[in-house]
Amino acid sequence: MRLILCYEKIGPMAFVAHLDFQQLWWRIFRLAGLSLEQTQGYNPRPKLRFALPLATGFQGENELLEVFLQEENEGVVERLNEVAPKGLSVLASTIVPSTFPKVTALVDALAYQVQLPYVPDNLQCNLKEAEEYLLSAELRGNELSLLLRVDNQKTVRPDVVASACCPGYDAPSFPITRKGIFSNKNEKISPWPAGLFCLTSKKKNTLC
Amino acid sequence: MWDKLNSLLPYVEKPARYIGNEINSVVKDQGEVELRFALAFPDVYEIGSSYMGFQILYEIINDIPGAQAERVFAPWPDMETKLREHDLALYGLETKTGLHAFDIIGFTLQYELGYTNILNMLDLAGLSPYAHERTDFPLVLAGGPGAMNPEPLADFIDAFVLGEGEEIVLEIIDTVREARKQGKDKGETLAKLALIPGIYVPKFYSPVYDPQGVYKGLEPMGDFPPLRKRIIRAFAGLPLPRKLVVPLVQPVHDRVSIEICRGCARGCRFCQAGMLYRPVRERPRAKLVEQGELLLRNTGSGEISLSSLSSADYSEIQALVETLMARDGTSVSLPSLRVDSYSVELARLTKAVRKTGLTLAPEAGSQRLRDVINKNVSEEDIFSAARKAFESGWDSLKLYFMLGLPTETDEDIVGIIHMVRSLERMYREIRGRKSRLKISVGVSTFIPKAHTPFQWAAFLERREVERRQRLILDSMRPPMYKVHTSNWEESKLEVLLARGDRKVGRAIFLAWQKGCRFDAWSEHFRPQLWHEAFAEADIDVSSALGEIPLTAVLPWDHIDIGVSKDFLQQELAKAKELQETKDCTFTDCSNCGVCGDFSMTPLQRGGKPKCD
Repeated sequence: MRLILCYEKIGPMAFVAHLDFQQLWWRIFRLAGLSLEQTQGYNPRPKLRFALPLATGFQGENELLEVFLQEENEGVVERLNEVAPKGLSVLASTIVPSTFPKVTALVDALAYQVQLPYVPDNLQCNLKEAEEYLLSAELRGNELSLLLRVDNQKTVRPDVVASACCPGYDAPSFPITRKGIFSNKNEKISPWPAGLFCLTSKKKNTLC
Repeated sequence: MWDKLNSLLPYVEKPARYIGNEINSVVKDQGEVELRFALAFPDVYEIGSSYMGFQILYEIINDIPGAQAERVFAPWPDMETKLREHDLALYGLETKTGLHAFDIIGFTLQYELGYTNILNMLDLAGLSPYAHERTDFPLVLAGGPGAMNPEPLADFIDAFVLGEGEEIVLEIIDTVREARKQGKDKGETLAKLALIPGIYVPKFYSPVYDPQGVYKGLEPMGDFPPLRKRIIRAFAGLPLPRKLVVPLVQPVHDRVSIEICRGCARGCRFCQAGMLYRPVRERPRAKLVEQGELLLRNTGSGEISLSSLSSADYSEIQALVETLMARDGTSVSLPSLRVDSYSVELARLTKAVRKTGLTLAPEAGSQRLRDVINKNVSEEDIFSAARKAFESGWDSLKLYFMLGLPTETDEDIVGIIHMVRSLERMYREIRGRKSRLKISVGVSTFIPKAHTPFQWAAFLERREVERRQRLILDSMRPPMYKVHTSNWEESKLEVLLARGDRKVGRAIFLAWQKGCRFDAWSEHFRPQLWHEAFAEADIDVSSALGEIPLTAVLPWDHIDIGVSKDFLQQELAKAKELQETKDCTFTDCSNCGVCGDFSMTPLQRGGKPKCD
């Protein structure tokens, strides 16, 4: 049973590093009594596929994780939430067929919100990578919203963009939240995974 | 508090060390909490968070209505800086309450090189490290093996807890809760605690010195019960924890562990655990299986470790391993195996082949020296264990030895080298010329520890230790061999703290003040500062490292661990005569005195050890 889960990693969980976070998921699945398929090879491990790792300290409100369960299961979301620690909850799940593209291949852009230390007068960005990857930037008060393009899993870090936009910006100390993962696959895939945003409409939509 | 943390955590390494919020951590309704107990581990989160002793106490305390147990670990220096910059008190992970607002802070003393961290953690909570300067609550307690020679920390700790904690912790909480309700102050509460057998309140005892300044013992200033360690007499019925907190920064070993037996009667003469945790007691197999399965279910772990000081000696070990292995998706690990083929066979049963290397601890390189230390392992045991391992498919082997043991000569060192070379030859004979054995050799330096037959022995001087280490290193070079030796300065400090008296407290304080912490971490260990601290505290280091006369009053003589001092002296004499003392659970009583002291019937495992 192949599933794409949409979850949030907020509050204290934002500080759990990606490798530890992966192990935490293994635990949660075992605690929930859901057996994950194992990877092949010399050292088999439970198979999990994250859309894109989230940097330690960033919150994520609509993260995507692809999992392979050994059996058909009911109530996966509820069972996982029952055992997940505070700050980690599964928001939705979508069953996808075996022919479905890898969740990593769905990622075309990422939306971030950065709380800046002050309200800058205007948005000026003198960053080469930003030119290449920045799709849009919007400032409301001290809240900077960024939409960053992802190309072959390569992108630019939102804190790097933010510090380039705001001279004097002290990157680590202000909260950064990944609001969502965007895809431009549009009608090309079915079903549209819950929690994945559509790049053309910019709206969270199951049908795109 | 969380807001403040949120703004400083992005600046520290591994911030998940400081957030709590783990699976199975307990946060009670704070309106109902009457007593707050901090379980304080004086090392970093990854080292302390999987420590079983605290996992057990955590559950026992949190099972008491109105009591909240929280965990606290030593913050890594980057976090320490941040806490000080923001003027934030070190806090319990569960509710982020500052340590100063607790009723009890209980430290565990697992190794001596954590002592400066204790002072630092108190300071980070805004508390004075010195017990007499803390006039109010919290009470600062300390337990664990280090409490069996409490004197070096006597100036800092309000009360030591001697021996096993599962029962006495309830008595402590009752007493403190009652005292708090009656509005008693810290001094009055300590006076009450001092009446509990197994509690040692150092301020109620004053050291006596003769005119030459030689220590003559402690004078109690009141009528207190004898300072004897506590044990759980009904160990077989003692429940295992139902749950374990699952650390968020994964320790190296991601597994649950169940204590299958407590104590070890093998009688290695250097081994402190072997003396401290007597008598040997076992849990029944059916109960271990049942509670082990519950624990696996409640923690979502796939591996169970059968812990004890000598797992293969457990009466029904094979059946236990087989039952647990039969459980779907569970792997079993066996720490602390003996050096014999039976143990390797057990390890093979756990299917650990390939997954992990095999670890054997012959401890000494010659039969003579193994007889001295009473490591009842023959050359044949070692080689048959290795043969079995190689035939079963193991390609990596870890061997542990000790250097600087009493009576050791170069012949014993050469014995280590020969043994490793012969094992390698054997491997090639069995597995063919093209296969390569991965072999790592750990050579630690012998440290005389309190309450052992070798407690009187000298610690070897630097030149000699390093010369002997070089003998090994020069003949076993990388990349063929991975040899790890101990840093002499670190070992020296361990001796000074492990055998220290009350005066050593001053040196600990001065070292901490100079900036020492995380002394067990080589990147933070600063021997020069310790050197200065001992000099300023006016401690004669070289005589503290030397041999102690048998007639001397020892700084830990007032602590009764059940094993008699006569027995320790006999064992020392037998060491010199190369005489063996057998494991009493397989043969006759060796008269160590512990069973009598606690009116226990000695455990008999029937017949001979399985290795014979």
